[in-house]
Amino acid sequence: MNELIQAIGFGLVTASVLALAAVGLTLQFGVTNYANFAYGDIMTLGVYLTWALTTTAHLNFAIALVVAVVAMAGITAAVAEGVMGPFVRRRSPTVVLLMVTFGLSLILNSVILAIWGANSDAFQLPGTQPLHFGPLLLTPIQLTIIGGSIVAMVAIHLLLTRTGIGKRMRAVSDNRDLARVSGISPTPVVRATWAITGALATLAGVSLAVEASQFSPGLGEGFLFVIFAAVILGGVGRPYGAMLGALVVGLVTEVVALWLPQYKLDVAFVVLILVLLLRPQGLIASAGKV
Amino acid sequence: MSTLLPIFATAFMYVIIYAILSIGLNLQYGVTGIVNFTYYTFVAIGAYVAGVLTLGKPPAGSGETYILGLNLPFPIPIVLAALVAGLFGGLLALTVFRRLRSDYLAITTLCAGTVAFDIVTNSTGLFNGPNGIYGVPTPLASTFGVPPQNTYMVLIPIGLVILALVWWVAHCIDLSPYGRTLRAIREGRDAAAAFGKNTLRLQLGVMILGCAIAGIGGALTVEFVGAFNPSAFETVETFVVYAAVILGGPGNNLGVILGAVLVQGVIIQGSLYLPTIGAESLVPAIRNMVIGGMVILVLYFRPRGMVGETRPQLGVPRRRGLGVRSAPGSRGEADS
Amino acid sequence: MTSSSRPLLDVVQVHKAFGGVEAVADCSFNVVEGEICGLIGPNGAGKSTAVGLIGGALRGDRGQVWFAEQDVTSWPAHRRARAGLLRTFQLSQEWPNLTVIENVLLAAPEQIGETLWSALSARRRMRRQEEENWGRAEHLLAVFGLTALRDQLAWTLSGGQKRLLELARIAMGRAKLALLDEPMAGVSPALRSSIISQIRDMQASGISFLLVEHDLGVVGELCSRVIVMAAGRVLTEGTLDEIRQHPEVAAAYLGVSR
Ligand SMILES: Nc1ncnc2c1ncn2[C@@H]1O[C@H](COP(=O)(O)OP(=O)(O)OP(=O)(O)O)[C@@H](O)[C@H]1O
Ligand SMILES: [Mg+2]
Repeated sequence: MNELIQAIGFGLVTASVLALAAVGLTLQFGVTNYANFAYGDIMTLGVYLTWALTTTAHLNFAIALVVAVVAMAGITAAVAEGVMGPFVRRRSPTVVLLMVTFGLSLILNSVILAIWGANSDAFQLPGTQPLHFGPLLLTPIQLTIIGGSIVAMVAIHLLLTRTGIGKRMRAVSDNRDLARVSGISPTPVVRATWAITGALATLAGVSLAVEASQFSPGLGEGFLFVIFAAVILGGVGRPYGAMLGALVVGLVTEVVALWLPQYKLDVAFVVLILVLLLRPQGLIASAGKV
Repeated sequence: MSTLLPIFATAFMYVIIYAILSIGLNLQYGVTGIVNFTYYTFVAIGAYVAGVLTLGKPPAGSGETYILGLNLPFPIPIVLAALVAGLFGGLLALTVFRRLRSDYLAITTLCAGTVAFDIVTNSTGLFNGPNGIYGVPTPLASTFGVPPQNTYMVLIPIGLVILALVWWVAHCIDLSPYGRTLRAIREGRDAAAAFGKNTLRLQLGVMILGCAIAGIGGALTVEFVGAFNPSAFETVETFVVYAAVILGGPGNNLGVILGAVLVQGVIIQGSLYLPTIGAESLVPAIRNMVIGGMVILVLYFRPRGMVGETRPQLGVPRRRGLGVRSAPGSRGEADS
Repeated sequence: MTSSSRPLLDVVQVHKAFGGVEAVADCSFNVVEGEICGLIGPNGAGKSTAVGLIGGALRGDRGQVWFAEQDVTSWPAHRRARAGLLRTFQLSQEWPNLTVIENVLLAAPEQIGETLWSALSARRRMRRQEEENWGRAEHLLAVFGLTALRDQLAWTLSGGQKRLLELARIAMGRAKLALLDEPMAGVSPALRSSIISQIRDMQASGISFLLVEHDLGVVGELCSRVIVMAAGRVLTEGTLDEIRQHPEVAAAYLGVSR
């Protein structure tokens, strides 16, 4: 029983990391209407940027993270504009767009390898001593991840419901044609979305790297399929669905880890297959969007 | 001369293998428009299956563990490798083809690839875990008395025969209404269904066939290299085959063979002999950047690749073949 | 065999909702053999959804579709097509990177070389059939005035030419019943009259039609009977003149286009 409670605790941590990543991925997927296979590498790049700022530029970790998040928002928006933009403007079929993101994934990963090499690195952070909450053991780092993720989710919620750009993002995601007809120009919305994606990817990547206590250039790529599982479980283009999907996948993986620790993430694949077979529109049903 | 020959023979053998792989992937991506982001996992399945069927039981005390170890003679391991890889391809396809979006197939294949990688790495009892299988003997080498360092002497002919066979199958498909129907699925699945094409079954069939061809390529790889382990099937490998197809000419079998020569024969084999600069991973990293960049540039500036989709028309009263060209970026609204 | 009285197409209480929108709400209507039946209604009435439900591209929530005295409700689109139920789409759905003649050839029913096995093993029979089909396709291209475009890729065609190509595919496919979703959309008046006569000729050759069309002139020229839909429901049916008298129709539809 205690083990189960502990697993649920870890599940919340994983879910927090996953929620950051999944919301970033699903927002972009919904708005641009194609999946981004370079997302894992954007996460990794954010991690290495943060790491470089702490080690090379000797910045305090928190400051480095903020700088990296802002920088990655810009870099992601710029790369999307420069590389994806021409294909989108030409109305390339989805198949081609997917290939381009796949190519971007390889390029970004190679850039990381070329600059930082193939070895593992780690953030040196305080707060690795676990605290007791009854049967539950969580480190201050893990608690910070959970707290930070909740704050980010609330911020996303406010962005989507209270700001003009957020409302337009939802409109484009729900129905691109209708949004266009009602006078919403997709271009600024798409740019803003990519920037938010880059920011969330960096937050998610750093959380993942800190939680796993070390990272290597394969960090994001190895995690990407879990993110996709959460995104599809929640329904593509649905940020609240992605949060729910992240929670489910996070808990399931950590509970399964009780029996099959080395395959814990692979359970996400089982979840994905089940969703595709049984409920392809995701947990939160929507009209006509599959 | 004596030092150059093995180098060229090795490169040539890899080109043969990649030509086979490119034809298989071309059937899926170039002809039918199926995005399978874990094509190389089926190569791995073929390699492992052929490996453990060719090997005997793991030697006692060696610490190796793997299944089967049946010591089967050539060409049974290759055939079974194709069957098993095709079977897995079909299973994967069954779960996703009912969904309309091509994204979902791409996502699911990517996920399946990661999971397959985890399983092979973690369950050591299956294919000896991270160390993989090794010491796989070359088929017929003992029959012909070929020394172990010259295994290409038997494998190049075998590879060429298999390549010819695979090419012939792909060519017959190109010439038939079957190939035309597959292209119609690529160009518009709903319209294909509206004209009586069972798109689900046809896509399933192509998934099986393409993955079986991947399995054959994998079997050849393991018989040539003698070893296979998880580090040999990372996502990059799939991209390399895509690069051959996209640079060569999606939809054109000769084009993709040309692509295999360029990507595998020139870029990859060539980069192996570049001097090491900086860290060990630097040269491969730069090479991958080049491949990724080339693919993106070609997708934009020359979506037809080096050789566009051309196909002889079957019903034309034997006058000529038609050169069919596509306009840039107009591969149709194949997606809904 | 009591059902021999069923019309060629019989739509019985078919229903389809998208989220909260009842696109087609318990609709019943039919098309009898040999006729050209019109289906009209304002934008969003559910006409295209109805065509999708009949053709099998969409799955209904309830109700039945009978075609040629068979209950095809559970049949997928391709099986209905093989039974002779072909359709066009509101937005032309040609195969853009295939040539015009390939587009037509693809519609040929029961092609021998359409499986991997026969493509490898039955090559002689395949070639013979293909030559036959090729001849028929060239003939149809001539009929529809597309001969000069035979070897062009279909995406290069103009909107009107694409409409002709779609009709040629229907003819090639030996349809029993063709569902045409706004075949005149984006077609010039000159081409319009040519398409009208093509449809007449196809009717004469034994094809029945369900014709979705906004242009009542076209409907009046072609259709002996017209079904009116509005907000997912069948309002009424009858000849065009009878329908013009109907008060609800005037309000819901004709009033708009007066
Ligand atoms: N895939 C879908 N998802 C959600 N709603 C849909 C979908 N398809 C149709 N609808 C809705 O169903 C209703 C009927 O649409 P339909 O396309 O059948 O109308 P129509 O009569 O063909 O109109 P038009 O004359 O403009 O072509 C509309 O309100 C439309 O918004
Ligand atoms: Mg319509």
